[in-house]
Amino acid sequence: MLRKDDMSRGLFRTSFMILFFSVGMFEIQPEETYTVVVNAANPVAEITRHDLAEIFLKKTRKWRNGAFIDPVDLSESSAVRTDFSKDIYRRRVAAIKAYWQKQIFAGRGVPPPEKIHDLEVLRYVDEHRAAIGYISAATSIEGFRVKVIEVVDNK
Amino acid sequence: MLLSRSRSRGGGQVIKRAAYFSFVLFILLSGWIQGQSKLNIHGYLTQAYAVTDGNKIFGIPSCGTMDYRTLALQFRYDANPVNTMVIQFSHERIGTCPIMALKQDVEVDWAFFEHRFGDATSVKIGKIQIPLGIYNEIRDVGVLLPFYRLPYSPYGEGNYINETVNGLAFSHTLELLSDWELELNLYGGQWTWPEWYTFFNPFSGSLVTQAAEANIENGIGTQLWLNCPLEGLRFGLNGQRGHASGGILFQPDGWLGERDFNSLIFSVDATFHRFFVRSEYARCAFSGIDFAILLGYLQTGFNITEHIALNLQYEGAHGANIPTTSVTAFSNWGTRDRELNRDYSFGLNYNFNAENIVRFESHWNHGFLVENKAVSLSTGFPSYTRYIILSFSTCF
Repeated sequence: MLRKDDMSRGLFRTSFMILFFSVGMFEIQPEETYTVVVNAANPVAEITRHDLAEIFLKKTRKWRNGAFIDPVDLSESSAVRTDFSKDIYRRRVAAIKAYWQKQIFAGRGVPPPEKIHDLEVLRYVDEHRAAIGYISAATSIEGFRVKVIEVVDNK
Repeated sequence: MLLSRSRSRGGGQVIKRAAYFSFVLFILLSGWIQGQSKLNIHGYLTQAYAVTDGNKIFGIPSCGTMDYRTLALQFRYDANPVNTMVIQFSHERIGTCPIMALKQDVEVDWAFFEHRFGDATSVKIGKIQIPLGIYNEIRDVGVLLPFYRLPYSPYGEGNYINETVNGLAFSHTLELLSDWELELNLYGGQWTWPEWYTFFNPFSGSLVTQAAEANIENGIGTQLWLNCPLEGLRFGLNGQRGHASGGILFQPDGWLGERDFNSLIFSVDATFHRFFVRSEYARCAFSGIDFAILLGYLQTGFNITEHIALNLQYEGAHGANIPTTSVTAFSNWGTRDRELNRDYSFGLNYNFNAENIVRFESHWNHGFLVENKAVSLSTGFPSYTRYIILSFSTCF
């Protein structure tokens, strides 16, 4: 027959084991694996997550100087896009894909152009003064007229 | 059963041809030669096989049919960030449904010009998809729908809900306090309701089907959406009114005669990553008589895995104070209330990816929608029908 002490210890151990294995179930904030880039002539130095989401969903269309924003995306198979989507939209790539399908077939809009490789994104941002895109944090921007801007928490 | 619906046929051929010509001219004048980055082409296709257990319903016979598909091709030209021209062509087959007598092989779904004022406001002019309820703007896009067809109540062919309007649409989004958002849509113009009616010809001893289109003039409507801070949850309200004439029901000496109508639709849409719940309730009433149609559905779906979804649906339609005789021929007509339709559905979807989905669904229907019988709403009896649909949807 179990003594009261034994029962308490058993309960504590069980709770600890549950908690230990549960830690893995909680979403750990991923280390940012992407950097956001704009054309070097763009005066913007930082942007909030909310504003970035609004831009890529084409709900915000203009920079403060009045120029129409030109967002460029990575292809949906890109791991960098997966991280960007989870961090900025708080949704998966498939959910954003469904959003754009609805926009397209309701006649309301089309998604930003998609590029397969970071270099294509850099080239696009280099060539379009109002463009904004994102690339792998490990990719160098040397040789392109672009700059990295900081993503900050929503104000 | 007399049904009315909405594929707007366009203030005729004139508007269709004018929109088509304007679109082509606009492209040629606006830098078509410079490159095609301004032109986007998208399309979708759903091909189905459908069969019933006896009665013919929604164009589906008991011997089965593959003449069941929707296909569309959309051309969108963004001349600049504020001006857009869109034209979408469609091809739809609904088996042997009487509505097919009014359909062409290829039709102009929509053809409109849009101008945007800032981020939150736009105006469209032309033949426009009406922003009505949860599904009206995407009613044939298979990859976005839980079932092959939208709930018949209220979206079905013949239920006083129109798909497009020839006219004008205005849209504006308001940001309210604490991440609440209000979308306001206003539209007005002219549209049509296709109608069909099956009756027994005692001279030939056979069933005869008649199809025609009622005209809706001076139509106006609004769709409001209240988007909640909880992403995926929104509430909607649509109201519209107009004047109906012609067709079968609304002829001067028809069953209902020419008269004004008004309708209201309440919508709840809760769409999340793992599941969704959607429900809509519609009421359509007519001036001068107490007759009203009440329509509604409840739909839910669960993503069992990343690729497999289970969907369930109940829908129903009820007629209140249905005239038992022609209101134009008799000064005293009797009325009765009747359940017009009830449908329980179960479906399993497998999505290979966001663009390719296979769907199996089974429906149990009880009502007056069968097409192989001439049934009086006043004195007839509803029929039980079971039908299944296997479909494949793709888009690009």
